[in-house]
Amino acid sequence: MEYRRSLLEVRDLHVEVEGKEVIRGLDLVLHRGEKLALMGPNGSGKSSLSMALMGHPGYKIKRGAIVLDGNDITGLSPDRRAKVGLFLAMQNPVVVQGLSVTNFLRAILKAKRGEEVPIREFREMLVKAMGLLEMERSFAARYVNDGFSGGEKKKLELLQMTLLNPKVAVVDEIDSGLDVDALKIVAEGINRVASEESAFLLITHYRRILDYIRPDGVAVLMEGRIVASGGPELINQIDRQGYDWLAVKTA
Amino acid sequence: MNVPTPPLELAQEPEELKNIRRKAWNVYTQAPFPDRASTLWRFSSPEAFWIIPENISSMLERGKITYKLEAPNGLLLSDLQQAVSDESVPVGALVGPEFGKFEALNLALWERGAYLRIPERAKIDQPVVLRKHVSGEGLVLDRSLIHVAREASLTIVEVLEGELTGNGNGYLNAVKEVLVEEGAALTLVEIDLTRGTTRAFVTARHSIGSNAELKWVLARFGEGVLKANLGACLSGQGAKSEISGAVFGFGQGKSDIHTFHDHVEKRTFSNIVLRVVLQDRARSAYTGLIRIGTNASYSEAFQENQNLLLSGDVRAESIPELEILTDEVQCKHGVTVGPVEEELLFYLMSRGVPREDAVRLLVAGFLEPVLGHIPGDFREPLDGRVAHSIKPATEVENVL
Ligand SMILES: Nc1ncnc2c1ncn2[C@@H]1O[C@H](COP(=O)(O)OP(=O)(O)OP(=O)(O)O)[C@@H](O)[C@H]1O
Ligand SMILES: [Mg+2]
Repeated sequence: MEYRRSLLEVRDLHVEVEGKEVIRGLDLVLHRGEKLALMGPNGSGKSSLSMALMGHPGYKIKRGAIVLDGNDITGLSPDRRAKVGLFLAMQNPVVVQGLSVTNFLRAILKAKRGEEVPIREFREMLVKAMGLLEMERSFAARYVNDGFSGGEKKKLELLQMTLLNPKVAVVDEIDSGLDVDALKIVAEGINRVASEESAFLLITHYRRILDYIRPDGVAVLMEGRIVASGGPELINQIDRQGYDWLAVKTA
Repeated sequence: MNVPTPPLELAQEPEELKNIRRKAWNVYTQAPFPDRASTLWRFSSPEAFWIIPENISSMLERGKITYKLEAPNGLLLSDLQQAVSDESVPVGALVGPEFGKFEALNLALWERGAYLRIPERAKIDQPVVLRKHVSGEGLVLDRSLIHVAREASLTIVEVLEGELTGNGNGYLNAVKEVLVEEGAALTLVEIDLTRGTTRAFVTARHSIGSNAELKWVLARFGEGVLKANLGACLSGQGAKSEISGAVFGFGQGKSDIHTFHDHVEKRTFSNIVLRVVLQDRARSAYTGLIRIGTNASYSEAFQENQNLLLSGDVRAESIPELEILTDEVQCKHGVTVGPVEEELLFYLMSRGVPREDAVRLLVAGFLEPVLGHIPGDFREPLDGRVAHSIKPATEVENVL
């Protein structure tokens, strides 16, 4: 394999939530241009890993390091991690009462650029990005995630990702609860953001989204550790056999 | 005792009003202090609003208020005192001499005042703006009376500005009486932009006739001290009252707000949304009384008070009270008190928004259900105060 610089390196990560160790010595490397699928049974720690990567205060890093494009971000606040180029599309994004999508997106773009985005430029960007995701314009005036359907929430996550254009994106079950058409739109949206300069970690339970996105490889998380990794053929095997055979192997 | 003759005895006022003033003066000087055990005075000390009678004349000389109306098509703001002499204007009908000790001071000695009468069936599209400006270091007695005649409809935006300085006994004592007649609709937006530690004692009573509607929006952002008693009497069938209040207290700011929704008639509706944000060492107390009278069946009353605490040194109290004297009514109230939600902060920060900006956005969002009712031009100074005043607590800083 040709040499590619790593964009994300996670070394011997241990994470505790509510006093329970949910990530227990995890190593992971994402290279520039790579798309890696992360699969694993419910409760295996996938979301916990993504929260810890993003710096959620409830997910305490007990040991290990996270390095993003050469920067050690292990101790950084979430906004600094975002500034270095990390993005997390959350499995269950929260409702922000009283904050309109427009004002929210303007604030995050301002944070990225360090200055207010001129209103016309902002409008053009927004209209274009929303159009590609087939989101109705009326969404812009609604409060963030307030009353959004499951699919609408996922699209808003993707919309933010599109505008921020991260170096490393962790996408946590963005396919769950999407109908077939929405799944296609979302997958295409991800493919548009992904490039040779970025890396994606795609957390999912289903093969279908991977059929669109075509990851370079798969890693399997069980009980807080990566227990297997391999090429795309592993996806089919999991699809057919589930995870039990991997559990036996590690026991 | 060197009691000042109520200065208005000399004015050309109807005998009836002079009697009311004398009665009020007696109440102010003779009535016992309010009972601190009552809900109304549990969180404020009456002494803070007491000026010994001998000092009142000189205190009044050192406080000043001006009124200015910006209104379309010839709507005029009258001098209330003038209006009382010219026509029959029911001063004291809603907040009379017996209402309370400090309200009585206002009734005994107010001068000039502001009077606005909206004629029957008048529909005014543009907001009518009433600007009040206080200054000086003494006592200001502000009295206004708004009379919205049958089936008239309009929005009034009242902006209070200026500052009362002096660490003596000076303060703003304001009383407002509002009549909303049958079928009328009044939106009343009150924005308090006073600066510094201005102290205010505010009492307002609305009387809402059958099928009439009051929308009352209040915003007060600052470090002053406020004691407010805000009420609406739903006196006609189908009357409706909605109060939305936004308070942002910082510094040593203190707000003690009491609301009273008095459902007298059938099928009346009331709703209260009070959002309070506290920072530094600010304090807030809210007591809200809903009374549903014996004749007020099929009425609905709602009350919600949410408090957002931005520092560990602030304090928020909230006491809802219900007095339901009939069946077939629907009442609901709710209170929340707490800091900025960590999950929300994390969500915004994970998108690159620095902590302080995230708190600002969340505070603005928290206040939005109230501020959203305020016409655009008038929101800016409020949004500005939120943006400039927020310094998130260090606790929050440590967490993230
Ligand atoms: N905030 C939390 N408080 C308490 N326990 C938590 C918290 N977050 C995660 N856990 C626990 O950590 C373990 C891993 O959960 P996590 O959400 O990371 O799993 P997951 O792999 O994402 O599962 P799923 O596929 O169902 O989304 C579970 O046992 C879960 O209950
Ligand atoms: Mg999960």
